Amino acid sequence: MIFNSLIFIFFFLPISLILYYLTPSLYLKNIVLLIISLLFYAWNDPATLILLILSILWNYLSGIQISKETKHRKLVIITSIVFNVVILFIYKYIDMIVPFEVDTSHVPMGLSFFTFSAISYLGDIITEKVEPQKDIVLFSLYICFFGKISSGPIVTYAKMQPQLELRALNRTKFYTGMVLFIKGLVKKIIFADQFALVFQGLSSNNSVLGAWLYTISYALQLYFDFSGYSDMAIGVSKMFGFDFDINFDHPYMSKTIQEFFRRWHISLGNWFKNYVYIPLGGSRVNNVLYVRNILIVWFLTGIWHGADITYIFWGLYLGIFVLMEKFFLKKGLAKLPRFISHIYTLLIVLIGWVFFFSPSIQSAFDTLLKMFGFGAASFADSDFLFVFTSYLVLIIFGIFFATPIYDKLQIVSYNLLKNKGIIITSIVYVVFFVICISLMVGSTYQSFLYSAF
Amino acid sequence: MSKNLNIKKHIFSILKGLIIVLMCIFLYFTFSKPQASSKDFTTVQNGMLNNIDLSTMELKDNISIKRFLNLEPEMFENIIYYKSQDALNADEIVLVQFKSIDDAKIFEEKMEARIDEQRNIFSGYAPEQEDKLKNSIIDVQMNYACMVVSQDVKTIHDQFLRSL
Repeated sequence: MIFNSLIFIFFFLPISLILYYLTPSLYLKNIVLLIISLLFYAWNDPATLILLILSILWNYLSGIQISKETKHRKLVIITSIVFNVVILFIYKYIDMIVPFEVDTSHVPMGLSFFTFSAISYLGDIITEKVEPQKDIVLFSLYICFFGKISSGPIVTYAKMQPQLELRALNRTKFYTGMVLFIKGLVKKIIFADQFALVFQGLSSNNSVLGAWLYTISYALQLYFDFSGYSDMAIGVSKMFGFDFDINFDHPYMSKTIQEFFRRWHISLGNWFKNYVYIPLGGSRVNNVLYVRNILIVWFLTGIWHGADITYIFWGLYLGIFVLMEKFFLKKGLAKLPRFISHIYTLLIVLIGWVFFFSPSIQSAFDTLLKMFGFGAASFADSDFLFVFTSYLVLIIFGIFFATPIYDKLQIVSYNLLKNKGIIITSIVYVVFFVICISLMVGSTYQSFLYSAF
Repeated sequence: MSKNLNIKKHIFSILKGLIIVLMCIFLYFTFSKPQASSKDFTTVQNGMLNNIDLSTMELKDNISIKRFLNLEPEMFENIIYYKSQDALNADEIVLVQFKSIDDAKIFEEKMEARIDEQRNIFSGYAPEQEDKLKNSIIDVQMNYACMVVSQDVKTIHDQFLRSL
């Protein structure tokens, strides 16, 4: 089941909320939430529930075993983590190494996300940041809470554990969650899905400006798609009392590549930082090892998105820019006007997205060459002009909403107009919600891009 | 105390062993679909149609594939389409090799639509042709698939499976 479906919005979510709020104690609420989450997971493919339950049991037992074991602790740690990695590998990457074709097109929903949550749990127990969870209900809820299982955010156990045992439920939090959910829905339905049409419309365009708009539309589609999903996930979680950190912080406003990835898919970046980069030594090593660490992290970031050379290339390409910024460009970029730094970052990121969305490296280079005038039939053709003029309003609003201006305006309106500001904003959100629903009824919505990773 | 702890550790190890076994079984059933065949198209075609009388049938071209089957021949690595020369005979044999196994669903849907369409045409006035359509086979085996409407449907299908 996905968040942007009518069945979720009008059936699953309201019934879940009613059941949850009617249940008296927090522990019983957790049991209700666990049952709902398992149902959510099994909705499209009940067989995958077996995989999820086995994974939960494995990690539950492993957590306790790691904390108790002294004699064979290393062996227990290695086998516990390897089990998770092997399952992920079999589903996502096996066809990269076996000589025959294996159907890896049906990766269970959220596999990468719940596996990373489980590894973070084990990692925190190994480093003694947390105690193992002995209550199977609470542990299962941490792994499979439906607000985050399908595409994150990847919440660490240390962050979620206190909330499993005690969390505030109040009207303000519920309202904030609901607004965030609608905001995410608007990002997905009104922006991401419309930018998808621009992207599709220009896929065979052979002009320079067409290639640029093609790439820009993908950049905006991906941002609104995944940040919209994240807003919805965080909003839903808030309605059930959970507070998760933001996953996107206006990344296209960044002035360096390093900053971009501190603002883009924050929870994944933090995961790689805490469970790969720092255990490898982080930046407290000599330059050679530092370069190795960065390249390993970016290689893994790339391959996490899929078993394809284009993703690996994308990851390493960005890793090289992170290294270049660290060793050569940092001082220069700091001296440049902010505007130039923004342009630099956007240019590098856009080129990166070309590798990300292209089916092959050759096709990525074809698009890039076209963007810079090589092999393009014209500078701008009628197809480009048609798409550009048809979607000009969307492009302007898309760029506007990718900046923090709207969020700042909303805060100013709350401060200046107090209750009136809240009422006006609520009306605006209700109107946009109705528009989204009407678009969804017309079946013009698409599944989330990041659910494929 | 120490004895209790040891027993607990053993129980944990046994339970984890059991989970590994269950996971292996689950993965076996998930991935135990037929693997893609490495045989070339001509070998599969010859094996499938071995000793089958094709004298009343005609090997159709790409235009006919588009017209009768509503398929784009360019979608496939290879495709052949035999159709009876007699308009009152429903015999058809299609063999395809996919470029991508993701196209299998499209192939299945188009073949089902073709058989439904043929059944509508033959129902009522040609019961023996309708029976052949009822017994027809559409079978996808990873990178190969076939559709067979024929008196010899079972033989052709068996030979198709053996030739992969």
